[in-house]
Amino acid sequence: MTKAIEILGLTKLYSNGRGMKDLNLTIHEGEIFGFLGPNGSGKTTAMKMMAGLVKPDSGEVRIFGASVQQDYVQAMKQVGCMIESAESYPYLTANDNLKLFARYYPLVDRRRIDECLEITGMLNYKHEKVRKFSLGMKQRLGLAAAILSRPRVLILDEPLNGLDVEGMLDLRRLIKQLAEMEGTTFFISSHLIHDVELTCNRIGVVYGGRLVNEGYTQNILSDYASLEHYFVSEVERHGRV
Amino acid sequence: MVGFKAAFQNELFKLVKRKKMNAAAILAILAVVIGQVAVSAVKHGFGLRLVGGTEFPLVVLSAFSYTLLPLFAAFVAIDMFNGEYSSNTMKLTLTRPVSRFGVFSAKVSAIASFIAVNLAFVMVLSLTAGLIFNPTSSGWLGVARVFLSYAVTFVPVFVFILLVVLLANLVRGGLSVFFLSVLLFVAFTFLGILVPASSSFLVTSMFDWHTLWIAEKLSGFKIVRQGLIMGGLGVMLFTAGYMLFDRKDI
Amino acid sequence: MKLSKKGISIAAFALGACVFVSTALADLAVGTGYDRLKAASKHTAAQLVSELGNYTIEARYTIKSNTSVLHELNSVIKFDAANQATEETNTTLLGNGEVSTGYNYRDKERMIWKSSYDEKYYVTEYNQEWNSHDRVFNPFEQEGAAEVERIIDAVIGNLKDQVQVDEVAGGGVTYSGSLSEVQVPALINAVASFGVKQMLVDQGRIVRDYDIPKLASDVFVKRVTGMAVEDEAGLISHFTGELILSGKDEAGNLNDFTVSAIFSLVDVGTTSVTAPDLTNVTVESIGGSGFSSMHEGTYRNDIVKEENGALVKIGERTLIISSIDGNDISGSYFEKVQPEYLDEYGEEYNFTFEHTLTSSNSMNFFTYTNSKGEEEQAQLQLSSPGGVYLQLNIQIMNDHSYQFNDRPYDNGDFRRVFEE
Repeated sequence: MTKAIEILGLTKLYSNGRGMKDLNLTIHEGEIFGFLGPNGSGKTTAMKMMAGLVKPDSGEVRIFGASVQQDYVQAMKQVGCMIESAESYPYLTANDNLKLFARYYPLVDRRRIDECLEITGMLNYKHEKVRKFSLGMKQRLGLAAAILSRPRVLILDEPLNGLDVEGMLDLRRLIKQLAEMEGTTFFISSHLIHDVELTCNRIGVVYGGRLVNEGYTQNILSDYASLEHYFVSEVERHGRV
Repeated sequence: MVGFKAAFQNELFKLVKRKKMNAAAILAILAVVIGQVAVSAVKHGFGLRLVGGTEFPLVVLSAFSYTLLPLFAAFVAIDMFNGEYSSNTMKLTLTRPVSRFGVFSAKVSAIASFIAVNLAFVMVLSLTAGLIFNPTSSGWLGVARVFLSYAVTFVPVFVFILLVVLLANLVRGGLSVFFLSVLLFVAFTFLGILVPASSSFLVTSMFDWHTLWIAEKLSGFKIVRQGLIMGGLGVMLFTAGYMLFDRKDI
Repeated sequence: MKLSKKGISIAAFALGACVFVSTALADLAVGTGYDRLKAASKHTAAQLVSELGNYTIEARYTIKSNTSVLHELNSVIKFDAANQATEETNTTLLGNGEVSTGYNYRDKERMIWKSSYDEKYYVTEYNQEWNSHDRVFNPFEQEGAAEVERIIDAVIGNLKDQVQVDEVAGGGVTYSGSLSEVQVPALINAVASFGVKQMLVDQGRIVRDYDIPKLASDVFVKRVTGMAVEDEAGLISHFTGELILSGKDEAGNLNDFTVSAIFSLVDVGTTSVTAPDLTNVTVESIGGSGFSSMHEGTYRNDIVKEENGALVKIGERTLIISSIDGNDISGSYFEKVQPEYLDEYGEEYNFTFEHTLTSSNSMNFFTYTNSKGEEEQAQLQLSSPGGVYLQLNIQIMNDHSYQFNDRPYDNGDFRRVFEE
């Protein structure tokens, strides 16, 4: 199996003591990795480092072998991401927003933009300014921007935020579909345990800036009654240490 | 290079969509009109011909390059950096396959284009107004002089804006950056007047360097010297701004 | 690769800094022609004021309309610091061909002058020594000069580099500069155009029977040129400046006016100033305060009172200047008030006086005795021709100030009484 994401000793500590310490992880192509942890556990920091927004104190992230820290352009060609909050330029329409992003990818044309809007259910709002959008609509547009370039790796930070039930179901279906049909690798963070259980086939638990444990959903569910039990036991075990 | 081109096009697109250009254009038109009214008033009131057809654009240039132009360019620069930091939209560009250097130089190039377009616009406007309202012998030489003056004025304004860009990456709040820039501009201008010896180091003292270019006797050495001073300063400010931008955690 | 990226950045920054600092320092060191000229001018001014023993300045101001001369003033001024003497000869040529000359000599003791309008030398002897500080002043050391200099520097801005500097073989420097209409800053253009336009209007008043073309519209500075020569000693020995103003007259004809000035500093160390020989010429001696023998005579001042809505002359004051000899004046004064007003007016004054005039002292009084037998101070000055001011009963406060205590209904304005 091809290594899609390699995270080697990734560390970033903020002056307030928060951050991420010594994260090591290898994610293979086609996996849907769930990054589970409470608020403030370091999930977003880790993802920002993966997307090159934050420089790590030490360590490295490689995407299909290309280092995000050393060879950013090459690494990011394979990546679509939505980090921290789904922002778009509020003074532009949905279509204009996507057009801006499309310029970075020679293969993305107008048809692909419409396709992405269709997939995320935003085609009806194509020519409306983002300023008027609800949180859920912004989230959908963010998703459309992330999948625009048909990336082989998708890094999604709390993608379900603000989505209604229908949206959640759509998104979950989309993730599974992309993973199965196109072999897209996902790295999804969430604090919603149930949701991760349903979506992801591999799960890592972060707590207090450390990756406490990780394993395949299948294996975990065979050992524990639910992912929630697993999470609680991992956190407690870590808390005792 | 694909990244730079895309980022540059995007910055221009955003600039146009944000209607900054329209506001700048309206104010520029207003400035030229007011200038023309003043000149006509002096002409009819005192019988003095302040400016000939092709000198009017030069008078406008001196006023414009010291006031509206740097002000507007500073606005644009601050919006491109501090504005995007605070509205969380900087990451939209940065998570695309483009290096930080590409993004930084695309933004700086977009500001440069803004300055250039502004200068060109005011030049055409004032040249037209000048030729219509102050018709005296001007000829192609006069027009060429105007063109040269506007073209070279780009350099000092741009170098000053690089300073604003540096500040924008040094200080968090956009408003602080703006006031700091205005303060520095005023301080530099006064320092240049109070301590003439310091003017060799101050870019604001070179805002009128177009007078060197249209002189009867070209003092080439002086032009080269001022060009090198501004070039050196520009490279310094650009790299310093880039280094700050490159290290920034979004 | 990361290191090299950082390395490139630092190298670029260092390179930029090097270019910036070294060129700026070089620029500072080279300075501008304007700065050098300014320094030389300051040096020259300081030398003229305090260092040079004697020298001659030749100056010429010209105003021309197209090619005809409207006004030309030639002036030769000789200074001799050792004797504290100056001599000035002026020749003025007006547009109507009228030529007038003026001559002026000053030393510690006296001033002698003559104009071409009469063949007389006027002489004023000083009682006190003339203060030689007034002789020449340094324009750069005047109050506020530094501020004015800064403002001028700021307005000139990058035009400073329009002053070309050429080293002359064998020592010395030539400065030259020329600004065409495009380069003259709008502000300077406006001020200069307005100033010269006004000057021409004034000129039109002086030369009555000569028709000076009036500039009515489209007045602008067409060209400004200047040239200065600095000699081996670092003195500005020659200066030429010219300003060409163009404009249309009322008929719409284009006129060029040229205002030019030429200064030369010559005969440094070899100038000698000698007083004119007054042995075989008509000489009129004039006191420092302007009194001469022609002012001898009777002067009268009416005492006028406002009463019941009407002006009533209640009496008169009479001043008789009986003799003026150089600075010595003697005479008498009396008041005559109609009897019915005497109670109100008080005692009438009646005295004789002796007065020695001094020229350079504004605290110049004479003493007289009033009607009560007390001594009081008075001041006598010339007013318009045929008139004098007499202020009586002056109260002297200290060495520098005094106060008038006027007599009733007194304005001090005495008019000469001419025999019919």
